[in-house]
Amino acid sequence: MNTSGFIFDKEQFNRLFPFYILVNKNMIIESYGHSLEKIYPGCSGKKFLDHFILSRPEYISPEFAQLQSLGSQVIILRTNQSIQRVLRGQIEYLLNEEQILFIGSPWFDSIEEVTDSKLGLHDFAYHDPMIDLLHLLKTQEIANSDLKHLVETVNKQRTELKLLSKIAEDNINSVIIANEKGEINWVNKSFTKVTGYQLEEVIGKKPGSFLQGPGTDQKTISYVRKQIQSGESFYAEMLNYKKDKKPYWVRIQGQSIRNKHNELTGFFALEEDITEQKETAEKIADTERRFRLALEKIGDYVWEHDFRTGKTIFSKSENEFLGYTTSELTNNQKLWWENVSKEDTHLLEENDLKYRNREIDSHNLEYRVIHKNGIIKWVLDRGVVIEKDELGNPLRVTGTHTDITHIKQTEEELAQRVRQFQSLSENIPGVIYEFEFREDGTDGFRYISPAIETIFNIKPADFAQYINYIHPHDRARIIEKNEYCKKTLQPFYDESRLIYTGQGLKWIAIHSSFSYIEKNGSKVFTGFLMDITERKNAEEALRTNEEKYRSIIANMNLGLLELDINEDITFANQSFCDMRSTV
Amino acid sequence: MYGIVNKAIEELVLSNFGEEKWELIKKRGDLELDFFISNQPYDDAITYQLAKAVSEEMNIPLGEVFTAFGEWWILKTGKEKYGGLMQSGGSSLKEFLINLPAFHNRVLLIYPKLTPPEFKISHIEENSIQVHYFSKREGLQQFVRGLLQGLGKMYQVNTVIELLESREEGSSHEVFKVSW
Repeated sequence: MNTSGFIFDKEQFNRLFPFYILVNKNMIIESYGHSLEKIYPGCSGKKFLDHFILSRPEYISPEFAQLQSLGSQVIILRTNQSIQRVLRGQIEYLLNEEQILFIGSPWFDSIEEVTDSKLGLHDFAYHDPMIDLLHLLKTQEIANSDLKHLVETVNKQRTELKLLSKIAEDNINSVIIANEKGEINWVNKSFTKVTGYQLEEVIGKKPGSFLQGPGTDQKTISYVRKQIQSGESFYAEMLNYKKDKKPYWVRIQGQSIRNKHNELTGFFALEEDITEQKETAEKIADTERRFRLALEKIGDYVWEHDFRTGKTIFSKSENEFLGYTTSELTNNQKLWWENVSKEDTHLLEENDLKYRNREIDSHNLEYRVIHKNGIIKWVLDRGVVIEKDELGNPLRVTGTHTDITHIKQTEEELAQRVRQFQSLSENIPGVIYEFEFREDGTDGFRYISPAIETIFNIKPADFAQYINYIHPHDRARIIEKNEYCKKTLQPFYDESRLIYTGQGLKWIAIHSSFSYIEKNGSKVFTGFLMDITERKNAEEALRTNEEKYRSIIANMNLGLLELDINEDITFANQSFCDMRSTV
Repeated sequence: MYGIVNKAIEELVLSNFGEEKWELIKKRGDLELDFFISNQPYDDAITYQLAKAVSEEMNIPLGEVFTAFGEWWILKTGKEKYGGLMQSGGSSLKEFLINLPAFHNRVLLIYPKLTPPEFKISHIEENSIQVHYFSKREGLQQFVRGLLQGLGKMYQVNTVIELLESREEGSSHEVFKVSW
């Protein structure tokens, strides 16, 4: 092929323009490039217009003569295939050979179309930028996707930032942001609300220069200043002053802000208004002082035990339980425990374990301690947890020691009396009882000794309905006597019959007399029930005999005269009287 | 290097170790960047810092990090983002490697701020080829080994990669022999 001085063989030309088309004056394709043949095989020797369509320019008739003149235009051809391919290039008319040479390459919208066409990188001439263009498009597509993602990320971060800003701005606590020198850059709404200072008034100032005042603790000021100077975080409770000079308490949490090189760039401080908290704490402490004083005045010993240190503090200087002074006892739980009676030590040990196991929050123990002089004293030891850690473990317990030796002695005496009384009531041949007339008009037994069961075969509880056991003939009398005693508090005495269903009856003697008036106003009679059945039976027998003999004597024909020691007539029968009237 | 390289490292870490590790790696590498844009150039130091941080955080030798990254670059980044382009590189491993020099020379102008490495191919045999790697960057030969391994996997052929020459041993460039 002679190209005006350039001579290429077909292979060389193919390497340079692998998508060329050479058409002769009869519009027959004489030859075409290797790569074009790959996407459109079998065109060689065929009519150009049967296989290619001229898309641009479209206005001319695609004849050889017309095509010759298109040397100064961009030519776009379409292949006449089911899937049309587009070729973009230019036409050169070869005068000597009377041929038209198309030089160009296929146009693709994406690299995927290249591979779909079974073309590869090596099918394009090195100078052909088509592949690079597609590469560039792909890169741009990826970059666009990145940018879209970036915008989403930025928007998300902006939303988070807005939220953070809002949290800081609307925080219920005061927020201060300061530079590395501690000078304010920004404060939130709460700060201006609490202090009365506006943002523009405080920017560039150090908080201490206008918030602290005469009541602010100097040690706290020095501590905070030192921390700021050394760029360290700090935590303090401090008395500050508002713009109107009114004092208020704050709890400050200061945090240093550092860059990635760990260089100090500023501070962030959160100030919580704890004025109310402080006042409440002061009130509690005051109440505690008064309470402690009151307890001590009424004779109790106040103590406090710290589980963390194991130390116990006693409020009184003299400890009368043990006979030691507080200086010996202070911080010395051991000494107290050592002087607890050996029989009772386990009570304290168990109690201590229960606190540690979080089983109890308070305690109430009675045990004995041995005084320095050997005397045993009884202690009422009461306590309650006043501070716990976050897991609920007790940290501090406070309580009282009360001397209950006298109470214990009284209790013992009382118990002795009860034992005596029980013994007495169980051994005497009768039933002891207490009967009360109540304020509301009702009455009943307060106590019936258990002997009622052995003597009368009636359970004490059943005898509460005593009237049911009284013989019907005796009931009205008993009720009448009860009413009389209730009014007059005179002693009660009666002899009545107790009836048993299917078991006959028994005679009882009831003695009672007024003992005392209860706190609730009940009038209590103490009494005694005695089985007098035998006596009554004997009396009845005697009476029957007496009547029998009296009848005999009265009816016999023998005068009978009975004289006493003074010879006065005490009895004369009818016969004697009849005889006297006859004589 | 272009952001796409750092982005690929990010994706490798996120996919294998999760977001928490990625944050730790960024912190360890002292990187304040939250985002890489694929077609933006970044300082090479960032890529080295990232690889070093991955190595320290995951307790993996730096060389292995680069090898793993090379494979990832081909099998994930290349295939998923430049699938067509990779496919156009050739229908076999051999063809792809033969086209490799031309491919990189083309890239030079597409990424004007990139200094891409240069490749040369020699000793083209039936079952092996020698790949010459010329780069101004140091310490990336393990990355190239990973790329070659990744290509082998992409074309589903078992490859053996030998380093015949290297700058560390006085040569002007690295020469890898890829056999299959």
